[in-house]
Amino acid sequence: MTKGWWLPAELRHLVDDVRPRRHATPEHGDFDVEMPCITSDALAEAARALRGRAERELQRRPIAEIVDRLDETAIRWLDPSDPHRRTAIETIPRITGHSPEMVALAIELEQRSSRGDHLLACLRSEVGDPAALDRFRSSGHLAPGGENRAFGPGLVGGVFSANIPALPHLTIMRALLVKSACLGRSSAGEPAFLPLYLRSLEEIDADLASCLGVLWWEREAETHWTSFFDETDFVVAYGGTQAERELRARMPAGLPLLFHGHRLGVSIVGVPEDAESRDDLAARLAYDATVFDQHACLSPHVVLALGSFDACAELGVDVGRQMERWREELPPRVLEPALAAALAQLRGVAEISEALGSPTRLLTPTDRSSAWTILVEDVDGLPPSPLDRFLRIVPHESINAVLERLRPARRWLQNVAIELGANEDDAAALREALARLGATRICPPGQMATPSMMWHHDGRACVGAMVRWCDREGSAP
Amino acid sequence: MKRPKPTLYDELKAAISSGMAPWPEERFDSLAVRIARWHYDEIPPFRALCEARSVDPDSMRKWRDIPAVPTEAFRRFELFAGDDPPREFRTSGTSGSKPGRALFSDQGLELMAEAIRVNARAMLLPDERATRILILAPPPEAAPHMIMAHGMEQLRREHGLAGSRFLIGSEGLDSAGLMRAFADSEREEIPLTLIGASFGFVHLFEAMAERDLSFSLAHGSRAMDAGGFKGRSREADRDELNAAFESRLGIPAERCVNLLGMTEIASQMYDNVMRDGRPAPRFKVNPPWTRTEVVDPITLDPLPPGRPGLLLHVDLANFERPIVVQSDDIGRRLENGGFEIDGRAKGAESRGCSLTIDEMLSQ
Repeated sequence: MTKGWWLPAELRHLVDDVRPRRHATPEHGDFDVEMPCITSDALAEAARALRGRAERELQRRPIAEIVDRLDETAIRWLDPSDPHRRTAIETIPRITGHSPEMVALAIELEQRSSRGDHLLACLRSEVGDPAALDRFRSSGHLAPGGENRAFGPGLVGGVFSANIPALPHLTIMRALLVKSACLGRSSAGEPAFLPLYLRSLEEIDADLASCLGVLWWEREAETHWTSFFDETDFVVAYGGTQAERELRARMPAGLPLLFHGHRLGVSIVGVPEDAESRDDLAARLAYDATVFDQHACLSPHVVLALGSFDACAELGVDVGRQMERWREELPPRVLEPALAAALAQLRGVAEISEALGSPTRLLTPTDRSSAWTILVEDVDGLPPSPLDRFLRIVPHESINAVLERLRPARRWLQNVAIELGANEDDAAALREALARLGATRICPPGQMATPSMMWHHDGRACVGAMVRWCDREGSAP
Repeated sequence: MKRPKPTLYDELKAAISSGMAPWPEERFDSLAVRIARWHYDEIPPFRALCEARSVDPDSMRKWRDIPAVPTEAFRRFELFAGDDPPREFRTSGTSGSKPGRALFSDQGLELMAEAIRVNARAMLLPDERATRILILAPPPEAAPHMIMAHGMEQLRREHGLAGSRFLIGSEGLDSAGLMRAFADSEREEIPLTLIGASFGFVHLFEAMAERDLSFSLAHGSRAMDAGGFKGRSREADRDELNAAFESRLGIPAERCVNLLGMTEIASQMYDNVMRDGRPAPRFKVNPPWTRTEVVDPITLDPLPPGRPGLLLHVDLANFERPIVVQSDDIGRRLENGGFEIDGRAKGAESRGCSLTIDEMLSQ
């Protein structure tokens, strides 16, 4: 049975028992994943053991060597014949409903940016000289003779989400990049990827993997959360608003938390007049809304277009055609009935609005399937996208109108794709305004789903934030 | 023409009054099609939907030819073919969004009352036993737009013994009064009918468990709960709730009925158990002037028994409003012809860091 947990061999006895947890997707039916049963005491023991291993194993190793091992792991995952990769591509679709093609693409994209040179570039960007993680190093920022040394937390606690297949290893990598042990609680929604990733790391370097673990316990298991937080030194968590509220209520004061919560992606485009440019733009807008079936915090919910309703409708037709193309290459999730029902409600209302002559244009596949939906609509505010390739295109008269629409969502603003075409002269001012408003990443359409390791995730230095510095200062000036 | 020929209304009302015996399919189709043709003329958004689906009055021959109106459309459009000034009921609505509206003329209210009467007699009061009706909801004067309060008031007025009343006031639930009423029932042997929202009963039993209170209500007592348990496993919660009715109040499972009702339709679907006098199997029963289909959410094609799909309701008592309504509830058809409802939120659980803008902005 596919495993939803992993511990180093010498700690596996701490899991008393396992039991299947059933997942159901419309396409594949029922699929069981093996989940661990562990007492809160055993959980605490595992956490202490991992931290102890890291003190012995990670601290003595040069950071360059750790990066090399992660690089080797990424190379394996990029090899289409790798058995763990193949297992992931077979099993994750049965758990989340994503197509195998989409899971394979997610692995490609995530592992490409997990290569050693990316990891080193990230360290340089957020920590400075990576060697400060190995020993005291002279620092040009201190007075002459000054040196400094960087340490990660003893144990990073990870709380994972299920929205993107093949992403949760990011937290593991970030922990290793500061020589920290990491114990994660997997997401019940997609627990299969991390155990596979950890197995491949174990095959490459068992000592390195012996500082890592991923377990699972019920969301209501208070004593487990207490053990978990008592033993961790830094928490990295993903999830929605409710999950964040629960987590913060349970965490002891003073335990640092980096929480990756809800985020909003949008595209801002000028609608090109010539058909060829419009089609090219449409292909990239469609791709951004296709990757990860729109579940990423970077994915666009809406295209804010500069142009008339009619121009937007033309763009919508092009985006729809491109959606159809991506549908072939990267088949969509088959929606659970409840999500399909919500989609049907939105489509039904749009159909009525359009027939009543309102500025609305609903575009769907000719077979009306749930594969994608484009809704060109002159609406108020930022109405919700139910995701899974549902993209609104909203006409705007000016960049100011675009910014006004985004203002209420500034707390959640994450990723903005910009391509202004004829209005390109305004791009610099727009970037500045978006950055001020709260955006954490700006890119061209077509690249929304492919951030680099150097991107400040949620606007934060996620690796740098975990580091504690010790500065050795020279004699007083 | 604002009003259909009086004969259509009268014919429908007489048919509903005739009771719960199944109708021939032709009678149902004939009434449905005549109502829908009238709506085509009188409800512009319905007409627009027909046009978008290339349906015209002549091509509507059976109810299945009538386009289903999504419940969301009740928020966005005025969907009413009756006389002004109408009485208005509203859906609860999530924060920030407009509530759905269901408009009724006096005639429409009369028709709904008849549908409630016939259905309740068969499904909730089949033993014709007089009971004291206690309602865990605010009275209509305090909740004038709540369709459930309106229907409950009718049951209280028409079927309740002295002392029947609503128990939610401006201060919340009158727990002390309720506990006294439980004790009175036990002592005086006057059976109770308890009516309320499902999660309201869950809270009540939690509070009773904390104080370790239980009663043995008079024989003949029964309970009707409406609605669901937000986002949790419906089946587990249903069994738990029924067990609590038994252990806390002495009401056995075959006298606990769940009711499916929505603001957007005028009729309700009750569980079969009270009518059948046994606790299992449990399923929803359509009164003969309604149909519920379990359909594929996208194609709207009927699904075979056992497969989850969305519930599409046809309710002729919705006379002045669209009669074919596409809900966003998920359920399944049973082999015996009844249907059951699944939890609503099952597929829409946490989706990590990219939830809907709606959720973000509603904080």
